[in-house]
Amino acid sequence: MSLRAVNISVKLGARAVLCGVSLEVSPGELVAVVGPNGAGKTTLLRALAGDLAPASGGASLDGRSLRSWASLDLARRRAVLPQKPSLGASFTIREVVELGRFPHEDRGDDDSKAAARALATVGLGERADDPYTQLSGGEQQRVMVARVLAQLDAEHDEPRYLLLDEPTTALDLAWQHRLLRLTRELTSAGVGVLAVLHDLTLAATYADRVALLVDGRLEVVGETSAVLTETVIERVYGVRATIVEIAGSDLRLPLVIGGAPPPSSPARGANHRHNVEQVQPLETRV
Amino acid sequence: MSSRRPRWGRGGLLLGALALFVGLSALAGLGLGAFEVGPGAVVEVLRAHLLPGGSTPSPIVDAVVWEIRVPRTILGLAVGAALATSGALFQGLFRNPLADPSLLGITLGAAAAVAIAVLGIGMLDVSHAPLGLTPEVLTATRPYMIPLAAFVGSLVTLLGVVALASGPGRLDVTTLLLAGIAVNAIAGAVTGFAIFLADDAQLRDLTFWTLGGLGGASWTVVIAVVPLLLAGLAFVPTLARRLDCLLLGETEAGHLGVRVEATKRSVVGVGALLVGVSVSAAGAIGFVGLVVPHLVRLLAGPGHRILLPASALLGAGGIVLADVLARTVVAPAELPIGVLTTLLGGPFFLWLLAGRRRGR
Repeated sequence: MSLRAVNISVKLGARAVLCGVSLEVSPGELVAVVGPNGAGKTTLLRALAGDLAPASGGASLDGRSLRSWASLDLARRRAVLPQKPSLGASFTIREVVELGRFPHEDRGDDDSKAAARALATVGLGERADDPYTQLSGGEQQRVMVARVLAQLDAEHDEPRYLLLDEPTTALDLAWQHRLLRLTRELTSAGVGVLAVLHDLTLAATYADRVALLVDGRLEVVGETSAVLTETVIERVYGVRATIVEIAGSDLRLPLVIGGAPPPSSPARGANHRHNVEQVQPLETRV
Repeated sequence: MSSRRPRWGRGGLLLGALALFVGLSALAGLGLGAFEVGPGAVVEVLRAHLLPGGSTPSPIVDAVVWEIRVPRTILGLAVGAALATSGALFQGLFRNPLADPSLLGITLGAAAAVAIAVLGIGMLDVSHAPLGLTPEVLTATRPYMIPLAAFVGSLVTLLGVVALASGPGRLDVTTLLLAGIAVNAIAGAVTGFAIFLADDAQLRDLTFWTLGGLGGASWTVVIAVVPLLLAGLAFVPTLARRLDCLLLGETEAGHLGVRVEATKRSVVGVGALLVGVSVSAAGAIGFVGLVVPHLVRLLAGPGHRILLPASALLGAGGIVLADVLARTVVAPAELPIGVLTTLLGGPFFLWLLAGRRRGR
């Protein structure tokens, strides 16, 4: 019982975007995928969603290859939140969320209740009849989250999985945390979640395990505190970081302090380091 | 239940109002024209033919209503529903309100195929009965050959235009519309060449197909064409929810369990059938597929469960009313209905374009 990538390689044209990546998401755990831009995070998520055909390797859900699943059966067990929602049609918020019920529509569940629950969860229950297109980017993202929640709201107990591609990008600070706390509630209910995240602090706060992708390879995967160390962060991202222990909890969060010299341009790097050592506040420098 | 889906309430109301509109349009189509027949007489004629034991007011009224206007009205209803529905289908599939069978070149593509078929059938040397085609066989199959040619023509142009506009990953709508312009030009040239080759009788046929109209309606045409259109229309509601999901994007629809490729093929096939068969019977009636779904969307939102049936109803009633107008404004002459719809639809299209440039 798991959502599993086995030795997946993906090529875009001649370029290898993913090289032999294996990763497993079990029901009830939150796995964060982190890494620099272009490391292949979204590609890995798309391969796990079945959106692209890997050059080699493959993805499976609960022991069966993704391709052998009927599309509706798959949609009842697995939801995907895309990176950038694009919906130009003037649906109401409620209608967008009800699209998430599509795979359940002939199963006798109460679809409108499921949609209403999902909308209340993202704090938009009162505005269900507003047009979706007039919302801000962050609000639209919350509607899409509700759509995904409605899709996972099943009165049947198949194991369920959720794939989130940079879900916090459009959200303000409070909603970034609310979304990830929501995700933790889902994992407590037995949902397996894979989330592509840029914010290492968010990843360290909420994830059970972290998978670090670099240049299409899985650099390391494991317990959050074991993966997100000062040396790893500096080596992979080229920024200096320190690990802060939060008093009164067992959290150990990476705090990014500033840039380190990019290896290719020593002159600019030296200048940059100079700035960092002076510990000038960022605002006054700009 | 009432709070469940507010647009269902509004949508249901709209569907009811539109059904009434269709009924009134049909009554107008049966009663109005160069020869006026009162609603009472219309009902009497219908009762005489449909129920046992009725009598008709007079042989003339009976001939005008039952032999001319009933088939014409039935054809108008079916063609209007088919064209408006195909527009709504294409707009959903391409996620673009500008998609319309006439703008994409499908309508004129089908008309060009009809032109080729008309000439081809005319040029067959039937005295040798090639391929077993005796004159009798040709006469018997002609009502079906023309719809077939139109269907093939619309399918080929649709697939050609879509293939041209498909880049890696996504359909490019600008290219789609540009390809539609080019196809329209080519189809126009093909039709023009056919007109150049045609004899007088064929010429009248070809002009009719290029401009569009319900003047060719007869019980033979109705029996050949309407079942095909009804079959296509009956399949459409199964696509509604999947088209809703497709509005999110093809990938997202796939995540919701929609079989995207199969859905696209169904939409393309049904759309081409509806347009092709309509064109074969009523010629190239433009812009119905653009204007009608747009009006429905303004009233009931973009959900296809209301949009598709409401477009069918509004298109059906609208074409019959337009036909009444075409028959009466310059009576006893008849305006080609395609000229009328294009005169109304063209400015509407420009208005839509201007709205898009202003950012809605």
